[in-house]
Amino acid sequence: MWIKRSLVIVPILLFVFLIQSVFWVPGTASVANNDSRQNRIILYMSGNPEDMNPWTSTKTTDSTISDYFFEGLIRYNRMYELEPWLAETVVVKHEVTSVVPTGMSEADYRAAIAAEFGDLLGEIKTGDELAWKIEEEEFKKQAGEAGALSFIAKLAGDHPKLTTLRVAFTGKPVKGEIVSAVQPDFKARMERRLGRELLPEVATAAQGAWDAMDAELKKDRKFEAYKDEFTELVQQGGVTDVVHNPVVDCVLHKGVYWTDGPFFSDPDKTWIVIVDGDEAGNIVADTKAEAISTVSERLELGKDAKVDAITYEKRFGDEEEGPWWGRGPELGARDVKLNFNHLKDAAYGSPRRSSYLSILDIRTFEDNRYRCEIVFDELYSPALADLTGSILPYHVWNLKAWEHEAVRRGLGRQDLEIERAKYNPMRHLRSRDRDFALAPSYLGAMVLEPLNGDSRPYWENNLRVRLRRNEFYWNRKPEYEFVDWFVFDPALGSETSEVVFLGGGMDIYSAKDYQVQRYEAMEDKYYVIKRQPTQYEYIGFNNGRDVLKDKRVRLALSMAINVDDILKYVVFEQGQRISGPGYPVLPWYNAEYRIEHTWRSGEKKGQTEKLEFLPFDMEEAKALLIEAGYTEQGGKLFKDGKPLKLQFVNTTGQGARQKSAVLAKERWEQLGIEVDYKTYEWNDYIQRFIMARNFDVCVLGWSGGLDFDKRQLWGTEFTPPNGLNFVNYSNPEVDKLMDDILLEYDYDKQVEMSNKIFDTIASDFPYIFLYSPYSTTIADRHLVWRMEVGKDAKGNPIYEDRPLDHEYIKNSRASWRFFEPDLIRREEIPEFTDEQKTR
Amino acid sequence: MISYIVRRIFQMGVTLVIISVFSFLIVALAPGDPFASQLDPKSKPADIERQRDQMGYDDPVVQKYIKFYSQFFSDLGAVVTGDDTHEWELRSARTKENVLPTMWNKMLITLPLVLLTVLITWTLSFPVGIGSALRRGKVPDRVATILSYAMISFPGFWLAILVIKFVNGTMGIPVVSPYTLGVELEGPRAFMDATWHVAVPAVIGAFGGVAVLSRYVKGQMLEVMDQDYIRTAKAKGLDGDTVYYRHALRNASLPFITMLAGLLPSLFGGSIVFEAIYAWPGLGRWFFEAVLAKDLFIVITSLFVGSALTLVGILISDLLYSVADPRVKLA
Repeated sequence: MWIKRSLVIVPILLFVFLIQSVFWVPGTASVANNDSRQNRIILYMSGNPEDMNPWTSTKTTDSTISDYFFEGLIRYNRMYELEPWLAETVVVKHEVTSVVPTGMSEADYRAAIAAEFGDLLGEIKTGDELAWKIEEEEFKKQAGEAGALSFIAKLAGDHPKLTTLRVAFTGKPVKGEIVSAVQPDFKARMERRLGRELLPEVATAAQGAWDAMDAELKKDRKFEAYKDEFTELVQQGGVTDVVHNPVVDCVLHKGVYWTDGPFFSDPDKTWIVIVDGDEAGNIVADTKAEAISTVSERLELGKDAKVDAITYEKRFGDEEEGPWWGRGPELGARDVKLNFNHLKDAAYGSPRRSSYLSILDIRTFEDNRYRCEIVFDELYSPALADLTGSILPYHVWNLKAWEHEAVRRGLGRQDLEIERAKYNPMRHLRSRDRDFALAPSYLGAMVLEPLNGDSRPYWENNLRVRLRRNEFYWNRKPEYEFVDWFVFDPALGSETSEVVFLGGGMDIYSAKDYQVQRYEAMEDKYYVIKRQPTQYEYIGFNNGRDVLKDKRVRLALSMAINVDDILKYVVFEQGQRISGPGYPVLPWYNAEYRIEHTWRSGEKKGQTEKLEFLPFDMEEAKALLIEAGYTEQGGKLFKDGKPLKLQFVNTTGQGARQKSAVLAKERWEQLGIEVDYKTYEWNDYIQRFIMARNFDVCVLGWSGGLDFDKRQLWGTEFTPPNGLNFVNYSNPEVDKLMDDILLEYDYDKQVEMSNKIFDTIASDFPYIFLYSPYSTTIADRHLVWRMEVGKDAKGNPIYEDRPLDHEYIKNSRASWRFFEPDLIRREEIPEFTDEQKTR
Repeated sequence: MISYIVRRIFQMGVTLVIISVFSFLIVALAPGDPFASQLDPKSKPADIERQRDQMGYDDPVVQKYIKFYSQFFSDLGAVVTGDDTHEWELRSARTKENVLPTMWNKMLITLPLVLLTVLITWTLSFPVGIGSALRRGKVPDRVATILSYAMISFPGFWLAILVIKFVNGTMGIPVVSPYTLGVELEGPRAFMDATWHVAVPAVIGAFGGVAVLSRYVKGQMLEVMDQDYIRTAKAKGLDGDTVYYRHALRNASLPFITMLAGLLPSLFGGSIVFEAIYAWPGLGRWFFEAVLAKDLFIVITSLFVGSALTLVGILISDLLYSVADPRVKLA
C-alpha cells in the first residue's frame, strides 16, 4: 500500500534531510574564532536601515550606518565639545549693521566703535541709507481703526534718513579650535559708551504721537501696545537699530576626496563625466568618445557645452571584476555651498529644513576653493551645532547630475522637451528616490560592501549591513577592514541577539538593565562599559491645572516618591539620579545645584537645608499639602470640600515607566490622594492626552540633542502645537534666560547661563526628575583599543594596544562608538598591566 | 462551472470593496501617526508638519482612500506586468520604501520558512493522527495525545527561545537568522547551513499545527471508520490497509481541503513571532513593525492583500472540494 508507506517514509526522509544539515553548520567556536574575525568588527542594531541620505532619513538606524559615510564641517569631540573637522579652521565672525545715531557724525561713531572693541574689530564699511516706512493699513489692522488713525496722524511726517555702518568682528584662525568673535552685547556696550540710545527716534516719535492723542481714544488702549506694534512695523519696514549676522568662516582641509562606487564594470570603461567643468556622475562606456556622446545626448546639451570624461585612476577593491571604488573629486567649498542651499530648498524635502532657513548666504571665493563663509540672519548660537551635519557631494547633487539621473530613469522627459530652461529635476525625481539613497558617495571612514551583488540596496534588508574600510579616507583609517551590522527585532529579538553574542557571533552587545550584573560577574571575558546617553526619565505635572499650580503640591508629590527605590528595583541601579532638567553627561546639567528646602515637619521643622536630591519623606509631603490648604478626612485629602484627585496617565506596557508609575500611584494613595491611573496605547496616549494636555500627571522621558536650546520643552510659547511644553510650564525668568543664551557664543558663559536655567526650572518642580539611565555596552575582551601614543622620527604615529576600559575612554563623554574605528580584535584575550589601563 | 467562478469572482470583488472601506477606516481613523507621536525635542513642529503634509496625513479620509487605492492599483499593475520603468507611488510613511516591491521581497524570504512549516505540519499530522485512530486507547495514542496537549499548551515564543538557548547557547550550533552569522560559507555548505537555519524555526513553528491537525485527522478517521461502507469493505474481506488508507483516509481527508483556504494567506503572512525571535527578515515582522509604528500604507496594503488571498483561497478550496467530492455540486 503506497499511501501507507509514503505516510511513513516522507516524514522520515524529510527529517533525515533536515537533521543531517546540522553537520554542515559551523559551530559557535569556529564562528568566534575564524580568520575573518581578525579584520572585522561585528555589531548589531535594532531595526533596518532604509535611507543613506542623511538629510532625508529620519531613523536612527539610518544614521547608524550613514554616519560612517559622511562628515561635517565641525563635529562633537569625545567630550561633546564642538571642534573643526572637515574644516581645518573655523572662525565665527560677526557682522553688525547699525545706524549711525542721529545727531552724531559717522566719523565719531566709527571712532567710538574702534575705541570700544579694539583688537577684534575688522573692517567697518558705510552701509545703505534707510528710511522709515510703515504700512498704514497694516498698522490700522493691528492697532485698531480709530486709535491708529489718530496715532498715525500725530506722528511727524518726514522721518530722517538714517546712515548705517557695517562692522565686522573677526578672529585669528587656530587649527583644531572654533574661534568666536561674536559680540552679542554690541548694542548695550555702544549705548553705554555713548550714553544714549542708538535709535531713539521710534520710541520718541511714538511717545510724541501718543501724548498728542485725544484722551478719549487712549481709553481702550495702552501706550505700550501702540508703541510695540508701531516699532515692530517700522522694523519690518527695514529700520532697526542693530542687525546681527554671524558668519562662520571655514577653511577646509586639502586632500579630502570623495569615494565613488561600488562599480562592477571594467575600471577603464567607467567614466566620470565632466560637463562645463562640473563632475556630473558616472557612466559606463567603451570609449571616452562614447561616454561623451551618450551624456551629451541624454542631457540634450547645447553646442557650447564642454563635455569631458576621465576614468578612475585611483581605486581599491577587486579592480578586475568588481566591486571596486574610485577616488572622486576633492572636497571643496562648492560642496558646502550646494549642501546648504539644497537644504533650504523646500523641493529638496529635508525634514530638517527649518534648521537651515536662517542661513542667508554661503560665500565662496574664487581665489581659494577651500574657503567658504556661511552667513546667518541672526544670532543663534545653537546653529553652530547644525554645521556638524553631513556634507553632500556636489558632483552627485548638482542639478546637472540630478538631471542626468532623472533623464536616465525616464522621468520628466516631457518637460525637458517642452522647455529646457524650466526643467527642474527635483520636481520629477525626489531627493529621497535618487540612487544616492541606496548607493551614496563617501567621505567618511567606510563604504558599503555590496551583499546583493550589483542590485540595490547593497545591504540585506532586515538582516545585515556590511561596511568596508574606505582606503581614500582623509583621516586615520579604521583598524579593521570590515564592519558587519546584524539587524535584530527591537522587541522579540533582544534575547536572540544576546545568545548570538554569547556564542561569539558578535563583538559588542548592548545589555539591558537587568542583564548588566550578570556580565559584571564575567569581567574576565567581557568589558562592561557604562555610558550616559542624552536621556532622562521623569514624571510630569500639568502645571496649568488648578490643583497643580501650587508649587507646594508639586513638591509634596515629589517628596512622596522614593526615587532610590525606583533606581534599585526598577532599573537595577543602572541609572543616575538627577535633580533637574538635563542630561548629566552634558555641561548644561548643573551637578552643583542644591534644592533649598525649609522643613515643615519632623525634627528639622523650620530649618532650611540645601539638598542634592529631594528626600523621600511622606510626613513632610503631607505637611506640605496641609500647608497648601488641604485637610485630611477619613484618610483622604480635601480642599474646599473637594477631594484631591489626580488624573494620572501612562502608556501601556511593562517597562520601567509603568513600574515607576505604579510605585508613584501607591505612594500618593497612601498620602490620601485619589489617583485615577489609566494606561493607553502609545499613539493614543500622545495625541489624546499628552499633546492635548489632558492629564494631571504623566510619565515620559526625553532623549535629545547635545545643545542647550531647551525652549521646545520649557518655553511659555512652546505649548502644543508649537512645541513640547505640554506640562504648561511658564516662568518669565526662564523664558528670558533661554532667549539670552541663544545669543551667547562663549562656551563658559553658555555653561553659566544654562546652569542658571537648570536651577530655576528645577526649583519650580514642574517634573519629578527621576534618573538618567545608563547605556551599557558589553564588549568581548578579544577587542583592544589601538591608541596613538606618539610619533616616530619621521612624524608617523606610533600605536599601542590598550584595554577598552582605559581611563581615557572611561573619562570621555561620547559614546563608545567614538572610539570604534580604533578597535581591533586580537586572536587571544590580551593581558594588560595597570599602567596600560591609564597611560 | 465557469458561470459559478465568474459569479464568485464578482462576489469577491464586492466583498473586497467592503473590506477595503472598513479596513481603511479602522486604520486611518485610529488616533496617532508616525509623525505626531514622535515627541522628539530635536524635531521642530514645522518640520513634523511638513512631513505629515508630504505624506497626505491631513487629507480628508475619502481623499486618502481614493489616493491610496489608485496608487495601490497603479503599483500592482506594474508588479503584474513586470514594468521595470514604473515609478512606485505607494510608500511607507516611516521608511519611504516602496510598499509593493518590498512586500514581494519579504514574501520571498518568508516563503521557505512557511512552506517548510506547512510541509512538516501536514506530513507529520497525518501519520500521527491515523496511527492514533487505528490504535485508539493504546500506548501510541496516549503518547500522541499527551504530546499534542503539551505542544498546544507551550507558548511557541517560549519554546523558540528555549531552543535557541539550548541549541545555540549550550550545544554551540547557530540557529538564528537565515544563515550562520559571523562566517562566510559557499556552495553546498551554504545551502545546508541555510537548510538547518530554516529547519529549526519551521519545526518549532509546526508544533502547534501538528498537535491540532493530528487531533483533527484522528477525529475524522474515527468518524469515517464508524461508517457503514467501511464495515462493508471489511465484511467484503478487504485487507486493513486498503480499508483504512484507500477508503477511510480518502473520505476523512475531504474536510482538509477546506483548510487549504487558510494556507494561501498564511504563506503570505508568515509568522510574526518566529521571524522576530529567529531574526528572519520576513513579511510577518515587517507587518508587525508597521502596525506598531502606525505606518498606514503598509498596514492597509497588507490587510487588503491578506483579505484578497483569503478570498482566493476559499474559492480554490471550494473548487477543489467539488472535484474531490462528486456529491458537491457548484451552482
